[in-house]
Amino acid sequence: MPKEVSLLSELRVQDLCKQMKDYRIEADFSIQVGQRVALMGPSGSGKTTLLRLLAGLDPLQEGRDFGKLFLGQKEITFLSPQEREVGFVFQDQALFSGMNVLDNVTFGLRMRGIHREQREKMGLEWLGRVGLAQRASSWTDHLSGGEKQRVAFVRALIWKPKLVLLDEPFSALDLKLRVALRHELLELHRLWPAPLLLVTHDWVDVQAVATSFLSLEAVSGSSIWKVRRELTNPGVFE
Amino acid sequence: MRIPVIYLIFSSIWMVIFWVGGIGVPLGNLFSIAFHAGGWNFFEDTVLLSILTMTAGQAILSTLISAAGGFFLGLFLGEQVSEDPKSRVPMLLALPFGVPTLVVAMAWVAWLGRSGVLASWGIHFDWVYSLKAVVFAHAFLNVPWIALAVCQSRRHVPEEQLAAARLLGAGYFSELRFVVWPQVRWAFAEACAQVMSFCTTSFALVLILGGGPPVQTLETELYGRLRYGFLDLSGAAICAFWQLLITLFPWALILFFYDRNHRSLRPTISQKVRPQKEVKKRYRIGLVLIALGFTAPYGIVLKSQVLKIFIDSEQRSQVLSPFFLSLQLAGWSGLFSVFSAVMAVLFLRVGSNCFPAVSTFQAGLRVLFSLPSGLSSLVMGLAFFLSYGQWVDPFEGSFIAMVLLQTVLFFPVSFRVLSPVIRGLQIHQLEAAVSLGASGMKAFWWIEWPRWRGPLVGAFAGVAGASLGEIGAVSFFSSEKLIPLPLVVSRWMEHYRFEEAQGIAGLLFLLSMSLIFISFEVGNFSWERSIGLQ
Repeated sequence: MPKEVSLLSELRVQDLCKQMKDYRIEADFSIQVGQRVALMGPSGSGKTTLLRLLAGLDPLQEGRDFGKLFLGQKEITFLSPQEREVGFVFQDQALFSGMNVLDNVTFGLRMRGIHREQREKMGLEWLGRVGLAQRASSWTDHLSGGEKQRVAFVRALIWKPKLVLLDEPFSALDLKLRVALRHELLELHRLWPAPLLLVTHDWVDVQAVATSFLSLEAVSGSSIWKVRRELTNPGVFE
Repeated sequence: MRIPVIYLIFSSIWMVIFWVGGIGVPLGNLFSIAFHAGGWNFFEDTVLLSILTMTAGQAILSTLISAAGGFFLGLFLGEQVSEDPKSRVPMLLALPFGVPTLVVAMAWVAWLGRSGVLASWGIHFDWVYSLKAVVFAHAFLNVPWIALAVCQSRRHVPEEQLAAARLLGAGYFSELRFVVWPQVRWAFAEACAQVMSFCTTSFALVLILGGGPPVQTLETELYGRLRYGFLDLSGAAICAFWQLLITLFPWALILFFYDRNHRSLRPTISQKVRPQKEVKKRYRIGLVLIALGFTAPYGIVLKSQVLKIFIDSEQRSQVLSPFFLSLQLAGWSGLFSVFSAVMAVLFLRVGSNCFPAVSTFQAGLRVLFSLPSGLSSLVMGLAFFLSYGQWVDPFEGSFIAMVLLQTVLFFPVSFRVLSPVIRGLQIHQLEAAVSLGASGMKAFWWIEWPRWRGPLVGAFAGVAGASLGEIGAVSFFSSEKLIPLPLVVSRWMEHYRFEEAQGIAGLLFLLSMSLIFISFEVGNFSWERSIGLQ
């Protein structure tokens, strides 16, 4: 395990209250280093919104929203997405269409001023771990769905972010591919065990990947969706 | 489900006739005459060489200014309207493209001329009939064109990719360089090539705003050799040949690089686009005003009494016949052009069904089908005249030749509008309809026709609008009995009847704007497609 792992720290979401146009999200939870937490909830309950909020893509509005976000002792509530150091896997991967696979996965390293030779070496090494080293110079639109997802995983983790967020990463894949990719995600997360939050609809994803899970539930008689930590253990958690 | 091969045979025959008769023979004749007249010795002719330098110089300068302004404006507008699918900004940016250049030139004379509006306010420009005026008018006309290309490409950059870049640490300029630029650069380059072609072949603008000999381009020189003094066909052919080379040069450059990088051009349609954000009304109006600002100045031609043309019996008698002739010309050119484009897209589609392996050939054909948009109307007019002029009575003119010539010239407009429609053929839905008992025709009518109707109307309106203001091509086959409106303007200008000429320019402006709005509203058609920006 790399020595930088000691720099990782837990994510704390403290009394969060995000007001959307016609509903409100409330959350108060934490994710430890090495933990993989699944977030479940019905469609439209704000799972992706919560992920985007944590990533800083839809930040809290001062005066309208409340709560604080911490990575260890560092408050990140109002930091820009660049400053938060969050690895994000989008539902549609959002691979850069103007770049090949290697350039895509090493983009985060490039933005951090890592020398070309070093980042290419790292990129090939990580791509090798998911069986894509030979596809390094391919254009992303030539990849299959599973390959795209692998590239997205590597791109999100290779630069060692402080937090990893995944938005329904297995939703568009067939069963066989899901099984393989769950396994690869676990492998990659072992290499870089940053706190990980995974949005999913699939209970099997939760059982196979998560160490615990949260659910977004409607507060009866209101338009509030509240994140609850589930106490029931599905039984397959590590 | 496959399209019957009989369509391939019919569309192939039509395409062969169209390309051989409409482009191959005329251009072949033009080149042949240019070669025999010593076209290669062009560089020994110092006068022509200076004209060539002037042509290329003003085109490059106009393109550079348009590119610089258009790129940043397009980027800004694209960012602002990226989450507003209902934004009218792209439509408004496309408006200047529909304004006949004759109207543009007359509008600037009305603003900047020695007795123009600004002069009456005490603001005098001493460069109205000079190179500066030509470059200014070209840049003002083309900035929105380039801005539109960049704006549309920027709009389609998936928000998730930008978010991913930000999360990976990219700042604004890294985002621009690594995510936005690869996705806008080809649209930008194509728009620049179009502007360069346009500025090289610009005729009415240079003729009116250039002030004659100080700004002589190959196009005006070509016109001069045919129009004034003795008829110097071979000299005109040489000018046309070299002009064609300059016009096609940026396209060749793009094709060369495009081929090497075409993979990065794949659209990213599958990427998720974020839901629409609330845009402040006042801000939205501001953006609309910016976009509208590039068309508004041309409205000055309306200040002259357009209505007077129809009220004054003398003017009416002079204008009514050319007015109806222009309408007929626009209508027939629109119909033939749309029909030819339908044949072309059918040919490509059926061809790809029958010969799926020859995709490079298909790509080559697509480029070929866009070729006439890089040709000057005067050059094509001359080429047509050299090939078919012998069968035309100079005292009668030829309406059919005018229609055919404009059909060839504006074919790319229709082709570009209809090309995406055939690519999106809903084969599975057609199969479903057939499996439910519909005949082939009925399946097409219920499933496909609603998709085709709008673009067909749009393509027709686009070609008709462009045809209304076209002056170069029609001048070759006109006669005393056969004068369309743009030629009436030209004649009245020559006879110093500026006020009346502006009245007709106003009428042309109204007609072309009406057609554009029809194409927008009825045809659900986007002009940016017709000019090759999508």
